[in-house]
Amino acid sequence: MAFLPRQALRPSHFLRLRQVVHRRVFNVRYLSGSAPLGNSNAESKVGKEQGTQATSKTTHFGFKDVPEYEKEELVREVFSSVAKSYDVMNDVMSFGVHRLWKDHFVAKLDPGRRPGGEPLSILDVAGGTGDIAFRMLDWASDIHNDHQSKVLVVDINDDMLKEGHKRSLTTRYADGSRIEFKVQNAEFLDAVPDNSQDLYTVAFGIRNFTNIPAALRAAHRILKPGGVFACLEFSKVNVGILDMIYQQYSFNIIPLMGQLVAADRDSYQYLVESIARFPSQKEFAGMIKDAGFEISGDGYEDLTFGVAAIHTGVKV
Amino acid sequence: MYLTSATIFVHNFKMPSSVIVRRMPAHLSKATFCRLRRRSYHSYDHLPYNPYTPSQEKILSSALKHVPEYGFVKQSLVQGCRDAGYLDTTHAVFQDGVFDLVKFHLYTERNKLAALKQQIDEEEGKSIGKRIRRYCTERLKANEPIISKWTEAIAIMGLPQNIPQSLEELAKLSDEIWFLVDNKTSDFDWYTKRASLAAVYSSTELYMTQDNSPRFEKTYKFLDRRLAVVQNAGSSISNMASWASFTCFASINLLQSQFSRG
Repeated sequence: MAFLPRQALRPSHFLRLRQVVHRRVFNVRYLSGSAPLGNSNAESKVGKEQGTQATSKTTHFGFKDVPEYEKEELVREVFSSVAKSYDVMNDVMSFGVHRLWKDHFVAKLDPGRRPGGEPLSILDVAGGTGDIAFRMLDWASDIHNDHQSKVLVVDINDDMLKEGHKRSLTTRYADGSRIEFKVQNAEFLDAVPDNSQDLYTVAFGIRNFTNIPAALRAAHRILKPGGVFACLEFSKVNVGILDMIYQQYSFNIIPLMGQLVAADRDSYQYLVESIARFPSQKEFAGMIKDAGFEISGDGYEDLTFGVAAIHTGVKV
Repeated sequence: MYLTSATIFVHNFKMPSSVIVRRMPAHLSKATFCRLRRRSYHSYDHLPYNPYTPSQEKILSSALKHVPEYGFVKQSLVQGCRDAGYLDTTHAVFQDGVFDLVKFHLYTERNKLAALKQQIDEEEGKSIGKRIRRYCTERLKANEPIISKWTEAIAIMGLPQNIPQSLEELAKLSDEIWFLVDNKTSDFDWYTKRASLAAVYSSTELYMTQDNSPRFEKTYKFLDRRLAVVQNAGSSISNMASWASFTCFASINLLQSQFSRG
């Protein structure tokens, strides 16, 4: 795992962050404004949008309703502004647990060429910084001794992809023969041919998509028959008392930490709002089914009481 | 109870009057519920709930054919995916991995018992004991091809996260057998019968993994002994119960007559 040491917190991280904080903490930009707390028919709009493939002209951006054509740009802005401090913030917010989730996600998918099989083509969507891609390549190389399987990392955000590319240069995949970065909209995936991929992964990305059903249909289009759609995403905590604590933490602490550590309260306010707006485990499993995938059992696995969940579906 | 500002906000408890009914998501429509929902009772009017799609059945049953060779490991699952015409990665769709393979074996073999009902009813007559023994042997026979690897399956079933589902499956098997012998008891016996049969079956299964005798003769003798013990215990308990109730009522009557005399 050549890239792992890079992810650990190092003094230089703090130095850079301190500079950022000094520069920006007293001059906070308000990207999306404060959340309109009275927007209580937001929930019904989600239902409408999922049911009728977004015939309405607005979609949600956190708890705000924005015109559809704006959301893409807004999400791009959020991730451009967090790209540099993305990993540090993930560690701070989740106490490092996101690494365990990602490791488990990859172990569960167990990607790699097996004796008598073919090398895999893996598409990692919204995987800008390459977190999942590197883990999968490491797994394939170290566990299956597979040095041929490839990952195509796509993201709508060029800044995130640049971070990923920069990182890839310090790994054993620096020559770019096994990993490729491309700017793509997950709802269309124009550059990916039909029936071409073995595995489609999206980790902590799908809730930011403007039109999730369209993205699921695109996933179905590009997978080979038998190919697996796998999604790691924040979900709903399934124990009442823990949910209460979790909600308090995510709405009160995370935006504050975003302000202090990354000097960007709005982006983190958006992150927690988008988590709260994302459908529950069961609803999302239903959406995966509606896109034409087959699921096994409930189709998902809860991680840490449902703070995150892994959903899988297979194209048959 | 959860009335904090954040949760009200998140769950949208305050619905405006214009939104009267929240649309049910398409996959939770009423039709789906009628078709697929698990029932906690047996219905003669509905098809039994089948948790597996045809393609999953194909993959898992092909995978089971590789178990004698590889064991209950991911390799068997991957081979099953290949045999069924899917990709190596397809195995990732099974949320519980190898445990899904174990569960599939338990599920299919349990459901095969119902098809034997007519034959067993004809061959074994009315004796409940004989019919129970026959269902147990039929179910144990289904383990014969994979018995060399069954200890692996037992180990997987014993993992903490799998124990509830494994016990549920054992309870279902015991319930299925009592149901198939037309036992309609509705008192506390209902529980003791199922519990004792489950204990007998699981201990016999464990014995079978270590049995080297030809055609598992020792296992079936072991089963007979376990069943005899349970039957004896069962009759002793019921004798004991009738003795206790007789004594209890008799003492009450005695006391009553003593008091009425003054």
